[in-house]
Amino acid sequence: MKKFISIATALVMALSLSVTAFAAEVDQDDPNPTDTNTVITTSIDPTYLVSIPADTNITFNQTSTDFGKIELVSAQLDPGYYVQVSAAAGELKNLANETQTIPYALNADGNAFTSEKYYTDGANTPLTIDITQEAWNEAYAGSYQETITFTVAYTNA
Amino acid sequence: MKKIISIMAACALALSMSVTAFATEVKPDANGDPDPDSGNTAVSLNVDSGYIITIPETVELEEQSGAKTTYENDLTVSADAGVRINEGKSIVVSMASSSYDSGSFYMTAAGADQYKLAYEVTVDNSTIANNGTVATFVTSDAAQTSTLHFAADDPTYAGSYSDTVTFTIAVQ
Amino acid sequence: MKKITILLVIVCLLLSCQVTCFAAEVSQERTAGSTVITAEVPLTHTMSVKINSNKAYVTYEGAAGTEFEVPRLGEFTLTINVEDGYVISQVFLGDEDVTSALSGDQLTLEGIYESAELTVITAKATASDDSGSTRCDAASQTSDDDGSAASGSDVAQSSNDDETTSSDSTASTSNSTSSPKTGDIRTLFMWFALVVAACGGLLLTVYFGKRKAE
Repeated sequence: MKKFISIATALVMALSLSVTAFAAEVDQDDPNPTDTNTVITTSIDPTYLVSIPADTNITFNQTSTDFGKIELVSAQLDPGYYVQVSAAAGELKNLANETQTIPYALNADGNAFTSEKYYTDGANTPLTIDITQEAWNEAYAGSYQETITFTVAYTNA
Repeated sequence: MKKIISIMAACALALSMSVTAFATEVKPDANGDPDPDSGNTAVSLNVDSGYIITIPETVELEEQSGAKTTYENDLTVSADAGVRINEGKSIVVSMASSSYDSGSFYMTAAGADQYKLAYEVTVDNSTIANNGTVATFVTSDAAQTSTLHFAADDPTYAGSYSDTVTFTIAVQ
Repeated sequence: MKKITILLVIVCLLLSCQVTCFAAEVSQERTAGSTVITAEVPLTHTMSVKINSNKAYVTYEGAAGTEFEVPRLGEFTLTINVEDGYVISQVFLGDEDVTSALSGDQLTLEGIYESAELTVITAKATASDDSGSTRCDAASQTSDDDGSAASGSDVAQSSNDDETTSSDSTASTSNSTSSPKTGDIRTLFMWFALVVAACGGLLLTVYFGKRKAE
């Protein structure tokens, strides 16, 4: 018991040791007593959150469907850095027969979306999914599905 | 051997004893009265000023979570117990930074071109301007302190920010 | 009892947990996020039928009506039934003339990708048409312009005329009937007499059979 108490006490003491912060001392005998410098610092780690569109159902025969937006939220980036989001369009595939497809375009403001750079909190890109009427007319009956992957990178390149 | 040492020590002590010699000699006059009947002796004492002021070399502002995120910390300027300076004088500590502009001090981050993080310095809730007095110490047997509070808002950009302030100590 | 109580409390807590659904977010801990897009292409489309008169009706898969669910992009056949004395003049699918797709009273279409309207134009048969024909001279004249296809249709029409002539003459000379002629129209008396005789024979058989047994 005594050994245990003594070991525990030693540990407590060791853990409670404080680190001495050295300071500048100026007394009247110092040859340069009048000035001393102090450095003020603070460090903020970069943080960001990218909001991407939610799962969406496209109505049959609709040539342009609102697909939400990509948005940079809660962002605090290093100076000169940005968040780059990339995505690619493809084809909707028939769940019963993957050879039957419906091509679609992922557009932003009428132009094909491939990637975008976001520098500030709140920056966003509204998206649409566009399918031509011809593609709809040629589409076989059935349920179609496709997964769009949004890739995010934090860089200053 | 011990006896020899002790005898020698006693002799040294005896020889080092000083005798007070008065500058003026008083002798009896013809009537036998002391002449002169009084004498003046100047008594003087020279005491040097003494003080030790302590100022930390660094202070790191830390995140404070609340309704609004800020970065704050305190810095204490202290004078050790036993400050002794001339009567009517005091030790004045002032603070200045080359970053000061339009009422604010600024920290800058490495890699930032233009963005600066403004910060404020207060003592007892009073805002300190550039070259403002942050502490005044007087002759006292007790230790004296002055606490400076540094505060900055949440910056737009992440990064490591810093600024160098210069404390000037003067007896006024 | 205590253990049971504790278990019940835990189950209640778990069941009362709410799940918050976020749109989709990617933080710096993740480098990618995905979104699923879906679409449903219907199996059938609605074909509505309009006829310029009440002298014809359309059936699909044996059922008559004015609206049918037809397969998308697939082939299907509608039957256009026209009364005697009338013929099909033209058939339009939307704005497209599909009269040429008509074979007798069968209209075969394919490649439907949206709801459509079928318009059937009927006309009184001319003197050269027999009641059984389904194309009037005006339609055949339109077909003539198409060349070989027209002659094929003329041949088909004339053979139809022959079939009609060989059938019951009553049908060919009838001017106004409310429904197509079907079945035998001989007097029923003979059949009734036969039924009575059969029943009588049956009764006699039963009677004599019982007597023999006694």
